[in-house]
Amino acid sequence: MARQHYQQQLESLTHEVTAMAELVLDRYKMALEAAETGDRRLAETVIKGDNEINERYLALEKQCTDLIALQQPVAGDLRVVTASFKIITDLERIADLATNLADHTRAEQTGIHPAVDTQALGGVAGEMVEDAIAAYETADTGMCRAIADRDGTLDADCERTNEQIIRTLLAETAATTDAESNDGSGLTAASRGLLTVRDIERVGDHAVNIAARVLYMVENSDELLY
Amino acid sequence: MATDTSDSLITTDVSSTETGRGKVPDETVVASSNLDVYYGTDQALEDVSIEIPEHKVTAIIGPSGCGKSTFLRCINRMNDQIPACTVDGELRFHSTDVYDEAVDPVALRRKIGMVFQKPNPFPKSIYDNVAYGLRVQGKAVTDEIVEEALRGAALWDEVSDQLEESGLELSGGQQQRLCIARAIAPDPEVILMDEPASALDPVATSKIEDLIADLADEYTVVIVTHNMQQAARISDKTAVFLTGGRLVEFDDTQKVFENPQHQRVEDYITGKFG
Amino acid sequence: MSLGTDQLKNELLDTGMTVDDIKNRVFVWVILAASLLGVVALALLIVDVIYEAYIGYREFDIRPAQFLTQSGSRTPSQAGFLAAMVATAWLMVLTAALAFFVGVGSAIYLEEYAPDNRITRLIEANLSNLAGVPSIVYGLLVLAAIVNGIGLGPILLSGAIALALLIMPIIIVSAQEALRAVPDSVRNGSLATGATQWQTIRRVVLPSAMPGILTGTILALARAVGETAPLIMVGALFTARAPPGPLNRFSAMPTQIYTWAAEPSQHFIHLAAAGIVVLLVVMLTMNGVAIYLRNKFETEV
Repeated sequence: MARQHYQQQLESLTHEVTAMAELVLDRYKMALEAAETGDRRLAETVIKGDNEINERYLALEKQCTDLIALQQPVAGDLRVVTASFKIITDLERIADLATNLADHTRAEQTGIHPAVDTQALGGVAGEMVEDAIAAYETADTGMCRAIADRDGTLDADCERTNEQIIRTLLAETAATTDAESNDGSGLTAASRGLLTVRDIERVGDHAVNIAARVLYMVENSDELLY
Repeated sequence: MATDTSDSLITTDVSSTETGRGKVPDETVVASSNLDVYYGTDQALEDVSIEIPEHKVTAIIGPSGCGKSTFLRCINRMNDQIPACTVDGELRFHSTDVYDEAVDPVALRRKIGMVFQKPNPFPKSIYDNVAYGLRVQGKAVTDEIVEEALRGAALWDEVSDQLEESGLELSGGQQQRLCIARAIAPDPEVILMDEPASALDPVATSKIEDLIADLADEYTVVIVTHNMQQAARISDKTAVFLTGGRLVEFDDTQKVFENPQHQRVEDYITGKFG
Repeated sequence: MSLGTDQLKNELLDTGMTVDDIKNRVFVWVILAASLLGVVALALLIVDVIYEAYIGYREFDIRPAQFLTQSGSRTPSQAGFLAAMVATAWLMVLTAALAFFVGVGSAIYLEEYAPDNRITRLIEANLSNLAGVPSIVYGLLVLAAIVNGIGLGPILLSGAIALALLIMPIIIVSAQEALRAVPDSVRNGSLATGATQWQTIRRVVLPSAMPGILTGTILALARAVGETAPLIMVGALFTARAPPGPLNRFSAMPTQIYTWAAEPSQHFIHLAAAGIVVLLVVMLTMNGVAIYLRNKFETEV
């Protein structure tokens, strides 16, 4: 087969992207665990680890650019490179969202908010990301569409959780009408909770983005892209 | 990763090209049906059917020996020069079968010009080179026509003060543009180009490429090239011939290079073979 | 490290004469001597001839002025070369006229039009044969067919026909070479511009090949200048007067020389030597012109 060197470079790119994805997933799961248990040190690890992910992102971006400039990929190969380009951006954003989660944990001694089942909700989003990366690795377009479907469920769950948080807040405010027992901690906890839920929903959206790019990469279809 | 549809030919009945030239249906100027060409017993082209649109740049690409130049030379019957060459099937220029008994190849070549791979100006002055076509065709030779042809070939500015000098004194790139001027001076309809830039350096090549885009406004350009990036850069439509002389895909250039229909074409343009 | 580079240096340095070196040099000298053999022979010939002519000048008072303005005569002191020179000039013109057009035409047909089949190959093979036929045979042929057969007689025209037949194969072959030297790319360029084959030949191929064709023609004529045997066969004999026209009897330079050299008188022999000098000068001049033309046009293309 001709262009051995070029083929190797393409393979190396996809491997590196998958490796970055695994790292990002790892951090995300760590952040979820830290949120659940209130483990400050774990949170610290996640926050510190964001640098490494950013560096990987830049390196992979350069790898994509080099491939385009030096090898002039066309057709399917070009779609691999342009899709990978976008996917690493989504991965980097997921890592940032994980860092947000960790931030909240570090600030609060306790867990995020009693209404927020971090592991369950976050876990769903995490699975979506995992599946999206698996689809990238194996070019599984069926899985891509399945992920898009699950996002609807995740969004609904997030919305319910948000409602729950606000109801709790309203209930607390109603119960403590006198100023002395109102220390504003309920407010902080609620806002953190809302932000966390939004972040988790965002992770789900990024997972759908990744799946959409994979579908484009394999089938040249912009069905899931918007 | 392209999906593999049937191995039949992709031609659209009314083709239209989605380029900057607008989305009007194309007039076909050269068309072939089931064209078979043999050199002796070797088959160079097999069952080629294609409709080449007017006023567009159509590129023909493919690996060595896939019959691209053979096809080009059939259009203006330059293959007649090769005694061992036999042609079956139909090749039409507008509505006339060019291989019909009644067709005079000389008359055909007065409507279809050709530029070759290696620049081949005559050992005459630049002026006489450009005027040659007009003279042999019995057309009037005026300074204006010569100037227009040289301008059309983006050569006027460089040689306007040395028209009496020998054409052989020019650089390779200039010689090729002189050959283009010679081809367009008698105002043909179609210009065939057989790898016109492959013998030239990158700067000369890009001058020729810019020129080709402009030529399509006046003429129909059919260009054979082994340089895929060149085809991608300058053509509106691309035809991909593969080994064995089969036309495997013919579509808008952008589609061929971003999402070809056939796996073999994808493999070829991504460099996996050929 | 230093050991390695020293070793390399030693391998690269010229270490004096080896057996191969000696063989090489001996070989070069041998082939040089072989090449010079021809040159030396020619030089000796020229020296001898000039010497004889000089003797003629000194002892028999053969002066250039008289020599070149008088015509042949039984009396040696009144014999000159003029008639012969005029006859040769006539011959060259007629031979050129006859051989050039037919020869170049044949070459054009063979190179540009003839299909590549057995008949063509047969023709070309026979042309090579013709080029090797001894010149006297052409003389015999013309004697039989033209001088006696048609009855033209031993006139200039008959001589020219003999010479033309002799050099025609040479002209055809060199014209073919000149035509072949024109690259096909130029022919294709012309055809693609809508020219017919004849237009292509007339406007592009022939002009390009003409210098080569002319050179070949001049060289062939230079050879014809000195051909004696066919002219003798045709019947060029000793006449006093320069031939006024192509239909007259004649004696050209080589035959005049032959006639003089056959005389017993020493005077005539030295006259012959003088004639040879003139003949050589003419021949070398023609060759020189041909070579000059060839060089001039080779550098142009």
